[in-house]
Amino acid sequence: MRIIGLSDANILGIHSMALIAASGECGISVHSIAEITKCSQHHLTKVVDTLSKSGLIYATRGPSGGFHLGRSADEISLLEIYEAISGEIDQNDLCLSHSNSKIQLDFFKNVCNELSEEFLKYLKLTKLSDIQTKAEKILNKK
Amino acid sequence: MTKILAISEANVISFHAMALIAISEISINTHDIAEISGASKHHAAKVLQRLVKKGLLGSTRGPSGGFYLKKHAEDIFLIEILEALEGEVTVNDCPIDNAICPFGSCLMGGICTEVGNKLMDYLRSHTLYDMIKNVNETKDVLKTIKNL
Repeated sequence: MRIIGLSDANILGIHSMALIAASGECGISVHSIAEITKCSQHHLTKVVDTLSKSGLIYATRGPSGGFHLGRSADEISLLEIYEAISGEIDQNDLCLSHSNSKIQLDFFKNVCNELSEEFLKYLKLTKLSDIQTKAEKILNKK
Repeated sequence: MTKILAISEANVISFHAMALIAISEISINTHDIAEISGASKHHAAKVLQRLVKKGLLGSTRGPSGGFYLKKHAEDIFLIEILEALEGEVTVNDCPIDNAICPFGSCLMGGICTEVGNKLMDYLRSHTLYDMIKNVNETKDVLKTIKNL
């Protein structure tokens, strides 16, 4: 079971962005990202389209074309990537939302909120530049 | 809007239902639980059926029938409530379930596993009683809906 509500698309988005950041000026194609992440090219195309629409990346055409970052990697947080794909996180109500409930299970809700905040903090504070090194190593090997 | 933790609506209903049944001094049924927890009666019924099947709850029939705990609240760990719906819960190391991470080690520094393990530790070390001991308003809510 996944405890953290990261979808395949979120994970693919973050991994793709790291690879795009690592590819620098050369850029990288969807085909290469799919090969490295071992994910379906079809799914990846959808994710990359969403990232393009949000302005986080852009594409260049041609035989040496590929995807490039729309901004510098140290200006893009993982939260932006997450929200570009899944929509905005409700930071006032991180989990266990049951607005019609007449009782509040504060004891349980508190720990869920605490853990959600910890993860949210990680997404906010981690920049794409912080995780691109591992992606660079993979691209260098290729 | 998106939530960070993947706790489903069914899980939320089950925690609320177990808490209500543990606190209630009078018999409560699916209708009461659905009304108090804000869930649909249909969804609440499915969740309660599952909790009965897994041996956490018993039920009595008839006009004054309802649900009761099969064990003391002190003896029901929160993980049992989660696993009654989800099956055995294990926190996967890789959030995309890749057997071999193409990046060598987790690109996200294992944060998903870390947070997941913290929640599991919490659920394994706390009981239903811990969850309900400070829920004070429930008895009043129950009295209101039962017109007592």
